[in-house]
Amino acid sequence: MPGFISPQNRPLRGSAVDDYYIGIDNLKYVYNRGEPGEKAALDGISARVDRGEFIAVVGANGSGKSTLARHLNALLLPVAGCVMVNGLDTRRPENLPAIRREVAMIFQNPDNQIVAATVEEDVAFGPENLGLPPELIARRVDAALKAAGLEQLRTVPPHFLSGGQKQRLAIACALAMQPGCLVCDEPTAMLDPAGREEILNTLLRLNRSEKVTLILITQFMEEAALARKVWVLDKGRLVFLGAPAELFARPELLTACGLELPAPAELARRLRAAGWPLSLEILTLDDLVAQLRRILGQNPFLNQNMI
Amino acid sequence: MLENYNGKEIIQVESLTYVYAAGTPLAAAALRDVSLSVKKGEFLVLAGPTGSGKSTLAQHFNGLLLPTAGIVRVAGRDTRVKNFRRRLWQLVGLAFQYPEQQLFAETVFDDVAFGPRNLRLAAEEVEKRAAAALEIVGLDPREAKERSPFALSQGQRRRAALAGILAVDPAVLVLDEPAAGLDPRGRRRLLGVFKDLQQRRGKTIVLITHDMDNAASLADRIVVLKEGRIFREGTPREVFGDPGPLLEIGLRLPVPAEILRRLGIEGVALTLPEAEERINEAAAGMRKRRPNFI
Repeated sequence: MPGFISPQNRPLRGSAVDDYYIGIDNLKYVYNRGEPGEKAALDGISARVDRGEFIAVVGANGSGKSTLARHLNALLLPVAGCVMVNGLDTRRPENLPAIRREVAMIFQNPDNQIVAATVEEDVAFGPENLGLPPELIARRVDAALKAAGLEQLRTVPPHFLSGGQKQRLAIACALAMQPGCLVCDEPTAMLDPAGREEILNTLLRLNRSEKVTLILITQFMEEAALARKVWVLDKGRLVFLGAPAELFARPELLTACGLELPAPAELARRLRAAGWPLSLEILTLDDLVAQLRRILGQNPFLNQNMI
Repeated sequence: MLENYNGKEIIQVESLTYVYAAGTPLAAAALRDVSLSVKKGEFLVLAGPTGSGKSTLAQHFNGLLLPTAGIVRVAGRDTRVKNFRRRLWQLVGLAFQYPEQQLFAETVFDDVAFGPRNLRLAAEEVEKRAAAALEIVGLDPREAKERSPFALSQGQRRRAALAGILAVDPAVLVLDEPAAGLDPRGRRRLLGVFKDLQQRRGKTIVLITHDMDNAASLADRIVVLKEGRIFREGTPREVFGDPGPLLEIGLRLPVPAEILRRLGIEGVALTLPEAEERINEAAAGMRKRRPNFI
């Protein structure tokens, strides 16, 4: 469905790929290659990531999201095509240490990512392995704990942390390696609502104030609504890349890919159909409430204290 | 015998306290003096922040955990009675989080048939039950005989694992975040299967979830736990009609209810059509005063 990709996001070709921060060119990947269970997982993906961007990657189960994510720091290597990170080809073994320092991964289950007895030791583990001098390690740990909002918990054993705090610890551990890019593979799937908000706020702040490039793989369309750009995968193909508002203006595309509008955008669509003058830019609950308040502003039947 | 429980309490929990690692320095009370009941045929949602005791409570319903103090009765019988265990496991089917991690057999069909075979049912009956369970979750029984569970997608593996629990034909299904990690359509379909099992087949469903939108649209009753105690209990309308305490403990309102709350429109909306209607009513109220309003 190449028609879904808007002109400014047209796939790149040829040598342009190594000019980008992360360039993906005609990437193909096949699980169990040459065996009976052979299965194409990525089928010719081309895209680019600029420094400081926030991209959400969505798609049904089995669409290739996690497979794509694992290519970005060379946990998987292309069967065909290539992935370039900061000008480094992931297929060259000598590039791996630099690529993995540049692009850090955060996974679903925070319990699988914890190694040490206290929060600060856990965060220090990575920099220690780099063989950095102790003062530098201490500085990096302080900065990472601060960025993840864990300064108060530095001496606590990780198993006493809540789900959201554990996931923030995983983020702090990644930050201590000073990556330019965080790839988060459904980091909120196992968290309660408060934990989810904690993680999203942390990630948003890192992207906005620390300029960390953020690639968020998610099943929650309301999380995708927060991104600057969304990539939609369907059966291993990239079928849409563009702004969330562009995507949510095409419910038929979402449906075709097994996705749905986030609830606030769906309610906005219904109200629009009923004649409400709501803009197409409504993505989040905050957007919808703000526009409705403006319209309903002087309604004497509303409880003004609440508005 | 179960017919006698129609509309009555099939699970009764009285003053249940459960302490992990009791008698050690690490002892931690996960449930404190919890009393509640589940009626046969009811759809009950258990909610609460991480660590509030939801999963611990659910594991008492099929005797996987036994009370440190207090009593849990299922169909009138104490779960601590040893010769009741086998019957209890048939009565109450429990699906943990990510149940697909427990698939093990060579074919999907064998995996689903494992439960009924264990009940020493006749081969024909095993076949019938496994096929029926696969159909309920939307998997093709014929295909299931040829495919390895490990060749399925995550969503299909989840369904296969749940079919294994359904094949035992339990009266009560206890489901711990069954839709976590599934895509939006997969979530909707799977939860629809459970609502259907309740409405058409009279199953009792206990669903543990963080998703308040699902709780609002599916539950007859919601029990909210906090730090091992019951914090709130009632119909979705009752529970979400008093948002303050929920927000305080880190839970959220369903999106339709949250929108009305922020707009200052009275009452609770549990679904998007309901929220739409209430917003339109508010606008109609305005039109009376200001004929030019939209």
